[in-house]
Amino acid sequence: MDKTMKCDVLVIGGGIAACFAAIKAAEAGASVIMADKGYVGRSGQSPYADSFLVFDPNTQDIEAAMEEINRHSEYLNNRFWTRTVLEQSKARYQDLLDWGCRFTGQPDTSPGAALSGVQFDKTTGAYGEVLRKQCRKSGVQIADQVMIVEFLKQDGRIAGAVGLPNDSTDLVTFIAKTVISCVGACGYKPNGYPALMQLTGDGEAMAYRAGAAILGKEFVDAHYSKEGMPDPVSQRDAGAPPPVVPGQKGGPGPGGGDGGPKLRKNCDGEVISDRPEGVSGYMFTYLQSEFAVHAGKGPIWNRGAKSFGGAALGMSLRKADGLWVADHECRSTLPGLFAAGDAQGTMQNGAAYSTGGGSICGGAVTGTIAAEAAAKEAAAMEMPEVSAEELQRARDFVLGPIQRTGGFGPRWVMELLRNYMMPYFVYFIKKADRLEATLTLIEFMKEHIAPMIYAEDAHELRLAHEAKNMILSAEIRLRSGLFRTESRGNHYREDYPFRDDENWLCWTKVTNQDGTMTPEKVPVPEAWKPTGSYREKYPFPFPGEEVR
Amino acid sequence: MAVKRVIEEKCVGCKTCVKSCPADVFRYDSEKKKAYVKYGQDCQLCLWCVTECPAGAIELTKDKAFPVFTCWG
Ligand SMILES: Cc1cc2nc3c(=O)[nH]c(=O)nc-3n(C[C@H](O)[C@H](O)[C@H](O)COP(=O)(O)OP(=O)(O)OC[C@H]3O[C@@H](n4cnc5c(N)ncnc54)[C@H](O)[C@@H]3O)c2cc1C
Ligand code: SF4
Ligand code: SF4
Repeated sequence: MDKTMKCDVLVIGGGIAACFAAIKAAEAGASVIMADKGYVGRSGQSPYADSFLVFDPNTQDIEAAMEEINRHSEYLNNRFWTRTVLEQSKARYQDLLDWGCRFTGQPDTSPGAALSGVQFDKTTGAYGEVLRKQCRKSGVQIADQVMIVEFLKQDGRIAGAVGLPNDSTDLVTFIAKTVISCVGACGYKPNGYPALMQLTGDGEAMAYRAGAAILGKEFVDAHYSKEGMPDPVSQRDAGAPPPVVPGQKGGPGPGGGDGGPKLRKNCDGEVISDRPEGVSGYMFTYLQSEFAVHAGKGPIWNRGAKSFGGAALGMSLRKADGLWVADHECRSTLPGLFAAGDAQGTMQNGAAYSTGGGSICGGAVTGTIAAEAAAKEAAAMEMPEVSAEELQRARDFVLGPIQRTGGFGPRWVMELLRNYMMPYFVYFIKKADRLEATLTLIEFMKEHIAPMIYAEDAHELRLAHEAKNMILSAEIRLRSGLFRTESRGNHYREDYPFRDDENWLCWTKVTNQDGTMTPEKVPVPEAWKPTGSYREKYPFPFPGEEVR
Repeated sequence: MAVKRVIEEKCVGCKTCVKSCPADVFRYDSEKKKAYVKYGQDCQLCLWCVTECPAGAIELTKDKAFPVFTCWG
């Protein structure tokens, strides 16, 4: 039987952002329900993270740090969010300590210390379990293994959502005064990065359908993995978190280490470096392996193992893509809907990786900010009444694929989508004609295939919605990539192989305008625009770039 | 396929794998009081189940390759 649950704040997700959002909203006096597709504490990317950024503005030079991040992010970071994460990281680290998380050492916040993080101690227990316990302790009600599929809207406001349990088609309706989306990043279930298994763009698809703006989809993540499969030993070699030893507690290893500079070689044994000579600082996960492959210099070797690209297929650069946050309190453009963590398009890192440990810490910081604002908003309002028609609409939408007697199987659809998006010459090395060709196929999938995906049970119904969401997300990605007629950070256009400051110191925001997917520019504030010569601003050359 | 089976003789029926698997691969057989692999084709070899199973009851194969692309499905 279907059931209905009501609360002040509905938190969607079970990673670090969701846990912080839920705990902080409950501490602020709100009644909180957390609905997670997986099991809170073991889902999403959070269990895989190793380091938590801790920065102390009292001992460290925040202006110098900002300057470095601005440059590494190629001036597209949202400086408000970058600075806020630096300023609040220490307080969130303290929360983790208070709740019982353990780290392997002390954070280095001495003057001049590099921007990096303190390591979770995974030998003393998974920190996800600590967060889960703290949620419980704060009075948060947890609904594990429920996929949120569609938002409920009433009077122009998000008023809850409909959830699908993993093993039953008895739906769960959540009525809430405010909703915080902490659904993480978006991927296409790539084979090399199991951390993305549950992260299929559900949050952005739901929000897009409901009218929200989606940001930053052109900046692709360039992690890669070992050929064939991620196995624990090669992950260790790739500098990733500890390998899985059965019985050992903690998150299992990932599927795609970066490998770090100087560890990668092309077929001729030449080193592939993600960092130009003389540039210090955290990291540039650029597209150097892809460029080598494109030039016929594959395969790429990483410490002796053959690697394959697109390990995190479908994922944007961390903190780039997601719901466009319209204010400084994590509100999306839809009233009632907030976003935190990877689900939020804050452009905290701009167009390239620019800090270490800033992703997980960013989730804690934005989760806290969203929670406080959402709880406050909820306290000032009545519980929404959702109309019978809206409830029926959302229900029909969720159950649609299982009511079909046949059509296209969701696994095949996902595989098809991966095959269209996977080629490096579509995903990483972009050009208008190839993007347009792929877009034609993806549009066909959206119009013809997606409405006819069918499911035989609840498990497949989940897959069916995931497949549909991935198709929508792929379209947003292709359109954003086509729109940005320049190269910058992790977005490379073979037909525009240079940064174009005159036209493109902008973010890309995509919305649904009367049924047409429409990208638009959001210029970065004038004061954030860089000065100096092209090469001073951009030490990293792109292949084919004309230095201007 | 990456996850092969739950070794019935070893499984103590704690349901940890059922809860932990991000790909929703396992189900619990309430008659036998054991977990079993129901949707093995969705396994992405993340190894959560192996890490968390208290009884060492989960058998994996190491093979994981991109599935062959088919023209209809
Ligand atoms: C291998 C690896 C190593 C990393 N190392 C680091 C590191 O050292 N330092 C660092 O800062 N960052 C690191 N990261 C990145 C970091 O882990 C993520 O940026 C961070 O965990 C994101 O947190 P989140 O809460 O926003 O999302 P996630 O932790 O991904 O959580 C998303 C949640 O949403 C849920 N969800 C998704 N869709 C739905 C839906 N439809 N309904 C309900 N729930 C849904 C998922 O089940 C999941 O619980 C690493 C990532 C990986 C994969
Ligand atoms: S390895 Fe991961 S995906 Fe595969 S069955 Fe185990 S928990 Fe599930
Ligand atoms: S975790 Fe292991 S012991 Fe527990 S139900 Fe699963 S297979 Fe059985």
